[in-house]
Formats: sequence, structure tokens, C-alpha cells
Amino acid sequence: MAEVYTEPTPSAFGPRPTDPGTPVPLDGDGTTTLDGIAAAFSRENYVAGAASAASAASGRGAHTARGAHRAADPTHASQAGHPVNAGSPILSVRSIEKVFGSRDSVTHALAGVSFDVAAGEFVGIMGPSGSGKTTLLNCVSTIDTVTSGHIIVGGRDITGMSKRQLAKFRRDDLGFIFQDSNLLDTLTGFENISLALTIKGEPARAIPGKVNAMAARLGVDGVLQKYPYQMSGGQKQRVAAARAMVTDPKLILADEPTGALDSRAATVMLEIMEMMNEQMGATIMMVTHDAFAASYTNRVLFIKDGAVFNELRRGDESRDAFFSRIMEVVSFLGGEAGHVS
Amino acid sequence: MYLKLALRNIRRSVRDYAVYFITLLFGVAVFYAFNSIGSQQILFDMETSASRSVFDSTTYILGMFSVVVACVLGFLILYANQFLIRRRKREFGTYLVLGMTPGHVSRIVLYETVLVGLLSLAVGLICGVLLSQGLSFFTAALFGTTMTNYQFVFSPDAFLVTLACFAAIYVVVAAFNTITVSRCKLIDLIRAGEKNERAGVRNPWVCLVGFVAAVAILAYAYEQLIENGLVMLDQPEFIRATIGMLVGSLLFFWSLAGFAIAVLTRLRGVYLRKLNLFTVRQIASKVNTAFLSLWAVCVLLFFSITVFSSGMGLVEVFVGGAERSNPYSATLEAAVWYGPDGSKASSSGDPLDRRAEMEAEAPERLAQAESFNWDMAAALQEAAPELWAETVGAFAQVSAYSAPDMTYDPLVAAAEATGVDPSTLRLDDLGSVCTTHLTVVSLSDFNGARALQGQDPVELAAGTCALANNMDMVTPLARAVLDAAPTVTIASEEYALAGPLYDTQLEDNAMAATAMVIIAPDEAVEALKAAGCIPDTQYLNVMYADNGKTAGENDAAIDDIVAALQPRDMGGFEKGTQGADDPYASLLWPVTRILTANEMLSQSAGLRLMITYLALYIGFVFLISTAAILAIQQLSQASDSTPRYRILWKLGCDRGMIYRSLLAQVLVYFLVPLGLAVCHSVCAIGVLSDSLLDAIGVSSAGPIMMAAALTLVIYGGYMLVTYLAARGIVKTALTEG
Repeated sequence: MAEVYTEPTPSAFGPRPTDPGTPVPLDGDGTTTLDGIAAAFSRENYVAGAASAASAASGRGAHTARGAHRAADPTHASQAGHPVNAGSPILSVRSIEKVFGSRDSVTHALAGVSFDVAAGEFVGIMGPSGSGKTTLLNCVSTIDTVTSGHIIVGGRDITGMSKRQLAKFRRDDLGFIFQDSNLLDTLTGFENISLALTIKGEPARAIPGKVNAMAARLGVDGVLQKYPYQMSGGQKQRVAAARAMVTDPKLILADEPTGALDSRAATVMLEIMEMMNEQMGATIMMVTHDAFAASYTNRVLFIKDGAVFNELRRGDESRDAFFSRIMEVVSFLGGEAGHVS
Repeated sequence: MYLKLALRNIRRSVRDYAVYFITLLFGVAVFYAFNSIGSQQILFDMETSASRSVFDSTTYILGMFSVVVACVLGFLILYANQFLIRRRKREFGTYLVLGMTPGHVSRIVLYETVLVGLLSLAVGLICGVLLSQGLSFFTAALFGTTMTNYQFVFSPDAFLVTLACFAAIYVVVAAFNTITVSRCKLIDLIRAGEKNERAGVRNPWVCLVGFVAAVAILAYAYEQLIENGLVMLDQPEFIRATIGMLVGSLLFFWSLAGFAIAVLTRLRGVYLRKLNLFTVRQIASKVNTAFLSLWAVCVLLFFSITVFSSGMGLVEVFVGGAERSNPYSATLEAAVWYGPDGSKASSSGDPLDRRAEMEAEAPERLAQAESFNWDMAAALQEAAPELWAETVGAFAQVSAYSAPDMTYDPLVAAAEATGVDPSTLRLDDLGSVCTTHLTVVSLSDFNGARALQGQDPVELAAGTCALANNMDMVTPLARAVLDAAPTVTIASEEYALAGPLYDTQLEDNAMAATAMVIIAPDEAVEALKAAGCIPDTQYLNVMYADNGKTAGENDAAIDDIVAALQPRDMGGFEKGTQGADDPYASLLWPVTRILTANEMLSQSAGLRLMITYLALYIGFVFLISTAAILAIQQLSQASDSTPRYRILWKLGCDRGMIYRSLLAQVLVYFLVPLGLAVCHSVCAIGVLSDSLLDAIGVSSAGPIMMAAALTLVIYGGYMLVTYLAARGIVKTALTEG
């Protein structure tokens, strides 16, 4: 089991074979530093993974199976040049770039990002402020457009779509959970969830049943007749999650979903998302700066300076162990940022 | 620096301000243009003092209404300003946080107000001057003339009045703004905008009850109005109708949103379709918070629609029949005698006593009249034979006698006995008709008048009288009387009253004035004279000779002819020239009043001018004011709602869906108050035309069409502009980041 984790980790630090143009955080004598850290990371990962394996094995049997399945993850597979053997990726991001500014001052918000998300995955995107993680989410959610590169969702390239097609794509294939819930303040909980269905053109008679069922699963059936201002922050986020889930989208995009919640509400929300992923089969991509939130995912991609910098897989290790590994990368990223500045 | 900031603020919020600014422009321009009407008379070759006085009185009345208009515009500007200021609390809060004092912020707002005010005044006055040129051509068209010597008109008076009025309004606005801003606390300013939209939810059951009550109250108000007939404005029915209308409308808007939601949420097929639920909630939240201003808008709309259409209808009442009611070049009227107290109608007392009364009070007049055998033309011809020959082409005299034997009462009773619906006879409106003695005109006088108009002579079968009437209010009664075919008694002789009903106008008058006149055989009138009756009223109708002179010059010649016989002061019966002891003697005969067709027609044209202008002025100002309030509210809601539209967009609504929702919101928000106002107007105008306009024989369809067109253009224009601007706001919000 352990070798599954050690393999991808070092490679994520260097340029990927498939993306020769991807900038790598190298500076002066940085090569040795990176190598050292990479070595340290692989060691740590190995130890942490091994240590947690025992405890996780008993309590989270289901995860073990899922972890094993994910060994054939498309990212890994394509990297190794093998055909994808699991379900083809729901989301495939291919060397996308996003350039802001005019000729005089060009900012590469995204400088060649590539990764895949398989069906049924719960992927976290982490990175320091300004790393480009929100831009990445906006591009995938088609709220923003890429400068170059391709984003393929469910086999369709969304970078070439018209505005109309994009809108249809968003309402049919995507679900959103935002930091501030973004519920419409004039609508009740029921109406907020219904809206996702009505704009899809769902027949009216089918809507109440679907809404009520989804609300019950996410534990917000008690607040359906309330307005957002009458709900707690956690309830609002769960209603937002219900709104995202009710259309049965291919991919759910979550932008700091726990950012505005206290720790208890955040835990409830994350458990709900975990449940959505595990029991309802939702594919979730979540942007967060919070290592605790990220520890609920199956895999964390670290973005830095507009590129994928590292990738951690949870496998079947415990959440605590995964959390510790995430924290190490986070503190490394933070430390390096401090060093550079 | 603060000035610069103010300028930047204005430029930045141009979209919010645009509708407000345009409305200000309209307000200033219209205000100037209508106040400048007095200056336009130099454009026209005024023939008579009557035409000139028309301009004076129009200017005077428009000036009076300008006070009302200034108040309405003042309230509009104040409201819009306060509304825009309140929306910017957050921005002011930022200024305060950055270290400005409230005084500085007030100064910025003051600069903004003054800048917008100055700009709108300057541009508005320029537009107003241009508009008043257009109004000159319109005036010419109303007078039925063309301008021969057009010149540019600028009215310093109107300019100063406009300047003063709007300067005063801006001073008040600036004061209010300063107070609003300086009284704000920093904490409120910073947190402004967080706590809105919360008060917008009402208990649906309360709303349901409220809505039903509103409809019931409105139905009651309509019923009261229909009962009252809109004739007596101080009747309790009218007051109840007015209060019911106001209260019912208020309750209607208060409960509308809650009621609509209670109903719509149960119609799942409609409610859970596309963006419908969002649109409904969007409208409901606005209607719930702004029901008061919607109510005010509805009342103002009702008022302006009703004023406009009934005003234009009244024009037709006064003016439409002017040609028909003035068939002669001139009518010289002799009042003859009024009864002993000099002020009562000749109907009082016994007609047989009149000669004795007149002999006692005004013996010279009686002697003069009898010396000419009551022939007015003979008296005038003798006084100024050359001028008479030159001026008068043809003439005919009508002497109306009061039959001492009989009042109209038996005729009315006979009409009622035919079983006709009494309400159609309008007896309530006809007042003292029953106690009036029959008015009798001889057949030859009648035929003389007809000949003068080019109508064929009438013949009477032996032992019969005919009936002449062209006053619309009396026509149903006259017809019913003819149906009853009663007999009339004149000088103790009985005659059968037989048809048809003749509609010959027997004098020049402001309106069709022949009311139930009995046309009797000449021998019947001779018998009246023999019994000692003197004429009740005499009319000498004149057609001018084809002498190459203008109608005005001929009018003056008639004046001179009369002056050759009696004092020139023709001001009316009350203006006797002989002193308090003998107030009427000089004016009883031969001429007490001169009415010329020329004068009557130009007076009615003047009336048309005045009422048309008033209706346009008030209608226009009220319409733009109400439409501007709705537009400002809708635009600010669109800009407050941009986060919502962004959510919708993220959820996958394409622009088409969002714009359609926006259009629905604007349409409903504009059309609901208009719809209710139209309902009220239909009721009021319907009642008004039943009771008033139809009675005088005027169709109100034309004015109603004009009112509808005016509303469509102005209100519809504002609605369109509002939608496009709101769409612009939303589009920008969706495009940005």
C-alpha cells in the first residue's frame, strides 16, 4: 500500500513529462533545496502513511477500498503513459494559462496547469493567496475564460463554448457552493433549491419531491420555509449544498465553503460534503486555504505561482495523518514565501 | 478638491442620475414653455380685445396651476434626491472613515446638488425656449390660423419665474440633503445596505384579507361615485367615493405582493417555471417596501388621466358646438324687463303684470319700445341709417313671449304620464322648469330666423303649435312631451302640440340654447299682445353685408350703431350707467347685450387654448413625475440586485433569461399602478361622461384616445428607458469579473 503514496509525490515537484513548459519554483541554488525537501517529504509521507494505516484500517474500511481504487487514478496513469482504466476523468484540465494585464505588465495568474479529476473524487485545491487557485476555479466553473489551454468536462471542451452553451453547461453539469453561500435573500430555502431545477427546465410537478428529498438528506428540511436571514451560517451552506446537489451535476465546485463558518459548523459542513462524495457519488472540487477542510478530501493539489506545485493523496490513511501531511506542505509553502520576500 | 470629488461622483453615477436628470430637464422646459404663453400673443394679429384677453386669462390660469406644478416637481426632486442620498450612505461612511468631517461630506453633496441643479436649469431652459417656439405653432393651430410673421419668442418673465422656482426647490433640496448627511452616524453609514429587504415579508393570510377588503372598498367607492354621478362635488357620496378610492388603493398596494405570492405559490406550474419564482419575489420585495409611493403614483396617474381626458372633453363641450350655436353674424338682445326687483328671471310673477311694472319703473324705455312697435331694427336703423345699411345685409327679429295661461308643469306631467323612465328626463338637472311660464315665439319670427340660416320655412296645421329645442339636456323631455301630444293654452285658446321637434338656434350663444320653445301661430301671439303682454326677451339676429370689411370691423360697426342710440357701456345688465336709482332704465331696450359669432368663436378658441394647455401641462408634469419615481426605484433596485443576478448567472441562467425576468419586473412595476389608475379613471370618466359630457352631446372617445396616446408615449417611454438602463446595469455587472 505504501508504495502507492511514495511514487507520485516526488514527481509532482518537478516538471511533468507531459507539460514541459510548466514553470517550476526554481531559484539560484534552489534545486538542491527542493531535492532535500522532496526527500524529506517522501520520507515523512511514508512514515505518516504507515503509521496511520493501522488505525484507519479498522474504522474506515470503505476508504481502504476507495484508496486502492484510486491507485489507478488518471493523473498517475496518464503520467506513466498508460491508458486510463478507471472511469474516464470527469474533469480534465490541460495546460491552461490565464494572463491578466496589458503588454506592459503581464501577470500570469495561471501558467500552464494540468490535472484530472476522476468521477467520484473529492479533490482539494490549496495554495497561498495569489497563487491562482481561485482563478483556476473560476476558469473551471466557466465564470472566467482561459487565455490558452483546454478544460474538458464530461468529454466536452468548455473553452470553445459560446456564452449560451456555457450557461447551459453551468446549469446542467455544474453545482456551486460558495464561501458566503450566495443564497438569494428574497427566496426561501425551498425556493433557493428549486431555482436550480426551474432554470434547468425541470417539470414543476417533479420539483417539490426532489427538493424535499435532497433537503432531508442534507439535514435542512427544517429550514425550507425560512429565508436566508433566518438561518444560521451552517444551515445556509447546507442549503447551498442542496442547491448544488439537487440537479445531480457532473461536478460540484466549492469555493472556501467553510470559510465563513465557525469550527463546529465547518465540521458539519465538511461531513456533509464527505457524505455527498461517499454516499451520493458526487465529484467535488474544493478550493480552500484551510488544511483542516482539505483533510476531508481524497487528494490535495497545491497551486503556487499559477502552477501545480505538489499533490498529496490520502489513500486510506486517517484524516489526522493526512492533515499533518497537508500541514507540512502548507508550512513549507508559507516558509518559502517568507524566504523569498 | 471637494468639487472635483463631487464632479467625479456625478460622472460615475450618471446611470443612476440619468432618468432623474432627464426628468428635471423636462420639468424645467415644460415649466418655462407654459409660463411663456403670454409672450406669444405678439405673434398673432389679434383682432379683438376678446382674443387678447384670452391670452391674459390663459396666462393667469396657467400661472396659478404653475404653483401646483412647482409643488409636484418640488416633491419629485426632493423625493428623488433623498432616495439617491440614502442609497449612498455607505459611500459617505467611507468618506467619514477616511477622515472627512460630516461638514466636508455635506459640502460634497451640496456641490453635487448645485451642479446637477445648475446644469439641468441651464439645459432645461434652453429646451424650454425651443419648446415654446413649437408651442407657438401649436397655438396657431388651436386658433385655426397660420402664423404670417413668425419671430423668435423669449419670455423674460417666464425665464425669471422658472429660475426663481427651481432655485427655491434646489435650496430646499440642498438643505434636506445636508441635514440627512450630517445627521447620519458613522456606524449606520457603514452598515447601510446590510439590513434591507428584511421588512418585506408579510403574513399571507393578513394580506389575503387585506386584498379582499381593498377590492370591496374600491367596489363600494365606485358604487358611491356612480350614485353621485360626479355632478355635486360636495355631496357625501362623492366624499365617500374619494376616501374609499384612496383607502382602497392604499390597502390594495399594501396587500398586493403578499396576496400574489399566496396565490402564485399554489400555482406550481407557473411558479416553479424558469425564473418565475425569482421574478415574483423580486417584485414582491419591492412592492412591499415601496407600497406608499406606488399608491401615490397610482393616485397621481388617476388624477392626470382623468384631468386630461375630461379636460379635453370639456373643450369639446364649450368649443365643439360653437359653430352650431352661433349661426348669425351677431345677435342683439333686448332683455326688456326683469320684474320689479330687477334681478329675477322673467318667469317670476304673472307675465300680464310686466307691462305695468315696466311702466312704473322705466316708462321711457316702454314708451320708446312701443313707439317703434317693439321693432329693434327700426329703432337702430333710425339712429344710424348709413352705418346700418353698410353693415347689415339681412336681419330677423325673434320676440319671445311668456304665456300667462300656462307653465311647463302640465307638459312635464304629460311626459311623465307616458311611462318613460323618469331618470332619463333629467328633471333633477332642469331645476325650476316646471314653474316657468311657456316661452312662445310666433311662427313668422321662427321662420324668419330659419330663413336667415338658410333653413326651409315651417308650417303649422290649423289649431296646432310646434316645439323647438336644441339644448341636449332638455331633449329627452322635449321628445317625451311631443310623444304625449298634450294641448297648450295661449291667450285662452287651446292648441294641440304636434311634432316634429325643431332644433333651430334662435340666437348666437355659447351653447345650443333653444329650450322647449313653443312655436305658435301668429294670431296666438297677436292675442297675447292684445291681452297686454310685452315681449319677454327679444333677439335681433343679423347677418353682415358683404362689404369687404373683416368680421372684427363689422362687430365694431354694430357697436357704433347701438352707441348712436344709447350709452356705449355694454358691459351687461348689472353695469347700468344711470346710477343706483335707475340702474336698468337705459339698458332694457333696444339692446342689452351684443353677441357676435366672431367674438364667440374666438372666445371658444381661447377656451380651447386654455383648457388644452392646462390638460397638457398637468397631464405631462404628473406623468413624468410618476414615471420618474418608478424609474428611479426600478433602476436602484436593479443596481442593488446585481449580486442576485450574478448568482443567477453563475447558476447557469443565460442573459436572455435574466433580461426577461428584468423586463417582467419593470413591466409589472409600471403597469400595476397604471392598471389600477386606469380602472379608477374608467369609472370616473364613465360617470362624468354619462352625467355631463353626453348631456351636452359630446363624445368622450376622442379625448380618451388622446389621453391614452399621451400616457403611452410618456409613460411607455419611461418604461422602455428604465428597462434598457436596468439591462445595462445588469449587463455590466455580469461582464465585470
